[in-house]
Amino acid sequence: GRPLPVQSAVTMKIDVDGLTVYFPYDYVYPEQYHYMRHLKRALDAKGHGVLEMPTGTGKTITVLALVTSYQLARQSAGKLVYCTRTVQEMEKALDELKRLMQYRDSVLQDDKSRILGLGLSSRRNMCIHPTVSQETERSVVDARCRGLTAPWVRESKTMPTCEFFDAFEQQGSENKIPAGVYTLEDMRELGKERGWCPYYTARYMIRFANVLVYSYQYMIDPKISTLISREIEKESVVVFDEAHNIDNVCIEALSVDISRPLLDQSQRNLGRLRERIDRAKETSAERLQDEYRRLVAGIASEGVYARVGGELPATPVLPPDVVREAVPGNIRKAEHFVGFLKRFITFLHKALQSHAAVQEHPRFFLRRLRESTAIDAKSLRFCYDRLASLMTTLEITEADEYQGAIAVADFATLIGTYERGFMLILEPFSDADMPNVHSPLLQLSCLDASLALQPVLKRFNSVVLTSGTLSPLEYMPRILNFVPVVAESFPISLARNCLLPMIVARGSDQLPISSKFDMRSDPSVVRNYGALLVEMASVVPDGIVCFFTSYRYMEDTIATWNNMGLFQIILRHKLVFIETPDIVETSLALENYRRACDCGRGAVFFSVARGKVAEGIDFNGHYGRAVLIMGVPFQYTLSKILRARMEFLRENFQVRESDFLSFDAIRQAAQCCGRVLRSKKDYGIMVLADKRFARGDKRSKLPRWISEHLHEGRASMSTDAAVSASREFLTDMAQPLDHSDQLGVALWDAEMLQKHNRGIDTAPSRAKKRKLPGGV
Amino acid sequence: GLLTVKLDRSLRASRRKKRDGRMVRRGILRYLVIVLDSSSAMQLTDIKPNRVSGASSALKEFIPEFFDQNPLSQIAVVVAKDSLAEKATDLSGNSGSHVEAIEKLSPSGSFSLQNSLDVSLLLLDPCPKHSSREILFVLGAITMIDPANVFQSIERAESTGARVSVVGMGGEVHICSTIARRTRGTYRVAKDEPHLRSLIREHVTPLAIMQEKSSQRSTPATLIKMGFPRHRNFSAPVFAPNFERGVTAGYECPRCHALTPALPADCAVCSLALVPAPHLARSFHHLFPTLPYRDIDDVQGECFGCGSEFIATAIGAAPPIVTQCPRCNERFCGKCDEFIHDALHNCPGCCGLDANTEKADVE
Repeated sequence: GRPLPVQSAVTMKIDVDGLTVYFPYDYVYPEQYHYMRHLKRALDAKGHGVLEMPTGTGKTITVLALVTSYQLARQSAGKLVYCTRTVQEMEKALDELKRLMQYRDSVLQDDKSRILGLGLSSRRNMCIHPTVSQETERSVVDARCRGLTAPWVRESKTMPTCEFFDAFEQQGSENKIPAGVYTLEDMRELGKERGWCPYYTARYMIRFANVLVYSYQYMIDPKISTLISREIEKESVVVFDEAHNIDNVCIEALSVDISRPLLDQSQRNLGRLRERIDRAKETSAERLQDEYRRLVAGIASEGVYARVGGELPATPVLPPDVVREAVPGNIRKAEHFVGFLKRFITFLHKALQSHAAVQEHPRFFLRRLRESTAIDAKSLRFCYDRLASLMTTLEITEADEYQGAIAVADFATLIGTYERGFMLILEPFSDADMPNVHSPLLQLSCLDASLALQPVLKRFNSVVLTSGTLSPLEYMPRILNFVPVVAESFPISLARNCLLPMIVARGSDQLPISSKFDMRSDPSVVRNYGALLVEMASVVPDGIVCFFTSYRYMEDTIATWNNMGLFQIILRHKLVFIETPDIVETSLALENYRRACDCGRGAVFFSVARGKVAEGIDFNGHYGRAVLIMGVPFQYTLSKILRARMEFLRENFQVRESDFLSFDAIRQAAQCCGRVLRSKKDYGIMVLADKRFARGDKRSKLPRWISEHLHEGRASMSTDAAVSASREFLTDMAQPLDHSDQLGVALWDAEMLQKHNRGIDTAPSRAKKRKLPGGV
Repeated sequence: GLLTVKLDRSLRASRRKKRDGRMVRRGILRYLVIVLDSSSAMQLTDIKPNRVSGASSALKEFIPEFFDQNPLSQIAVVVAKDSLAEKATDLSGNSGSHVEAIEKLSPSGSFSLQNSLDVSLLLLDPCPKHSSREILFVLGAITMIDPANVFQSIERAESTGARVSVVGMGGEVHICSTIARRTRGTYRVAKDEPHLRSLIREHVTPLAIMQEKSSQRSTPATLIKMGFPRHRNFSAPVFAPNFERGVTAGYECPRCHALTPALPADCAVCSLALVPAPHLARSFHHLFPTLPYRDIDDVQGECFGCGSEFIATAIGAAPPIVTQCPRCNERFCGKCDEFIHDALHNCPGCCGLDANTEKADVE
């Protein structure tokens, strides 16, 4: 999603297999063109796709340009739903869309071709209410908004309401907002101008929008997606950007953790609920009666809180699994339900007292539960809806204070609904920092990533997963249990070889280096890792990013380096900054790291491969000239959840444990490598320092854009060979880059594109010819 | 045979790129401070035999050539080591003392960009407004150890109009590209010894004055007073200002008749800039460059410059390079073309043309 280097007013129309694609730049990268062809094939076939293209090659604009042009050509095409991981990525995508629309408007000058593009985020990011928007906690903003917009609040006429929501209710539902592209900021502006609530306006406009940009959760997490994405038509195209970790997102959406403080809170919540029920009995008994009648009559969820405003998150269960029947008798009455929850919580409390780790199938848990408390799975299944209904009846708006009860109900509903693909794990000593303190954690862990994504895949014609690191391409579909019609990896086309991946397998003393558990504390291995960093720090200017496999390993290694005196040598060349689990500390370290890179002092950033930095922070340009990966970033293999998941994968999807582990480790490593190469003008060294990277099972899983540059000679190097290769690379890359050298190789203009379609090679004869992706 | 011709052509193509016939304003009164990095990074051997001797030998070539092409200009040398920067020579036109200063360096410690920049700016401070102030870093270090905020020094350089160029080694350092961009200098990184030599040599030609910046600095064509002194010999030592002992030969200021022993210099009494007329003339070719010749395919006949016939260097090889002056239409061989543009700075054909028209005018 980064702008291309060359920009001017003239832009292109590209012919992609008979479809005219409006592309708002003068030049198109060859890989972008091939990407469009494959994406179009998936759309034509109404099937799903898995497309891998490296970062910095303009994935976002490629997707946006193709799909919007497709919508223009085929009236039957539905919306484009572009899912991103973070708000920043969302803003970037909307900016690109804006640019595209400006270009289209200038070319087409036709009102019909104008589209509505929307960004949607949580209330916290969209609220313009003078006091509510000051809150920083997401759940607090949601709760306070609810407190001002719930139906009974507005009906009461005495309680304060939100003027923006009222205005939206009065006029907004009739008035559409004009076509165009609205970023979050634009929505807020529009809201201020018209006095409408931007959040609800955006949600209302979803049904009219052609392009939607929002977070993964809005599509995957059933609690939110049933509210937000209900009205999106079947023909729509759903794109998941940066989808290399989508399996983890899916799993998180269906997993619940129960800790002791949470249980205590839920118990207090129950007490308050009971008080409110008692009060309601005295003042408004008919409301409770009403609710009872409704519950007897039919489905709990319908009509109770489906009205706009005041809504609570919907049931955590996936749409096809929602039961459409009456609520069981034992939890219909409010006080019975509270008693029911109380029994359940007491049972959980007892379960948490265990000092032994327990791993248990949900079915066994349910049997134990029935034996000791006579609670059956069917009643549990209704818990979440029943609680939501009760809270609505009692007119409770401050849902953030009832987190405990809600989490328990969530847990109850999930465990009552699903048996397959879940595992209950009790970790008695969950706090890694204090391994001797009993801090039990009961985790209901979803093992099957395909579960949460299945409804999305079934509902929409085309779902596209795209990222810079999806290799090997057959893995993702396998663990998500779907068959893509298009699976393709595109290499990066470069006028110069601006990435230098190397596998360093030996130190200068020719001893192997590895982060393998039995080798990692060996002093010679630690020293060799240190020597590698010292050597690299002395030749690489400005910023170096160094990834370790875990915090623990990072701390141990740095301490040993300090004792060996290596740390002092590093400091002579570079300042050192370290990522910690604390986000504030880390962002402070990052800021100073950037300053050190700016002023020429140079710096090393120590980070962990699965931390925040590895996922979301870009080290573009001089902020990251080299990335060192110290060891293969395997997951913590002793984790019970991981083991349960691997067992599940083996039994159900025939994925071997070792294969899954190395797949997961390599995608992390590739993700870390991608941090330093953010555009084609950028350049970076990528050092994979572990002898195990050189093995076939690891190397073959590297994405194509890395493995293509990983020549045989660089596949198993020693430290000094890597350092001299780096030195040469850095000098070459420092030479000025001529625009004309790129033309025809890494950039195509309209004419070259036509030539390519007629089968003429556009690369100038002096430039090295590059292989184009298969099928072309 | 074939290979050398090919190489020749590609070399010529890159050289031609730089050479353009447009007339641009260039500062010919140049005050250049050369900052030579002598930190421990200069001991590396990626430039043969090592960085420091590669750099100093390149500079030893550069300094005489610089004075040859820019006789009105002056150089000072700053040597940076152990996080400090020390002035090795003052601004002067004496190439011998500068060359001496860059010999026998022993690299040690780290490099401070800020200190070297500050010292250089201090040296350039007394230079007249109309002159071109330049700083050239020859840099091996990739780590800058600075005492304070280097951006303040960059700002000062910007405000005084000094232009900072950097010839680096080993890789691109971001702060160097920042400083070059902000002060309108250049930043290049040397690949090997010949490349380092040629990159340093590029600084012989004065930088073009940017139009928008010159208007900002409000120096639209100022009148600079200069005197052309007469050389005089004396039988007995006579008094010369600023000199403790008397001199037997010197240049006499045309305004106040004070003696100055060496040129170019400012008169010690009336501070008139004293230059020999040939120096001024030699500096002029930067302002009025010889027109670039164009390639032609007609290879019959002989070169106007050396009189030799155009012949292919080997049987079956590519045809010889023949170029033609767009003004006088005379044809030259490749070697003469290079000599004319790099050393002579005058087109022999056009000179003949000019002489003829002058003669015609007289008649």
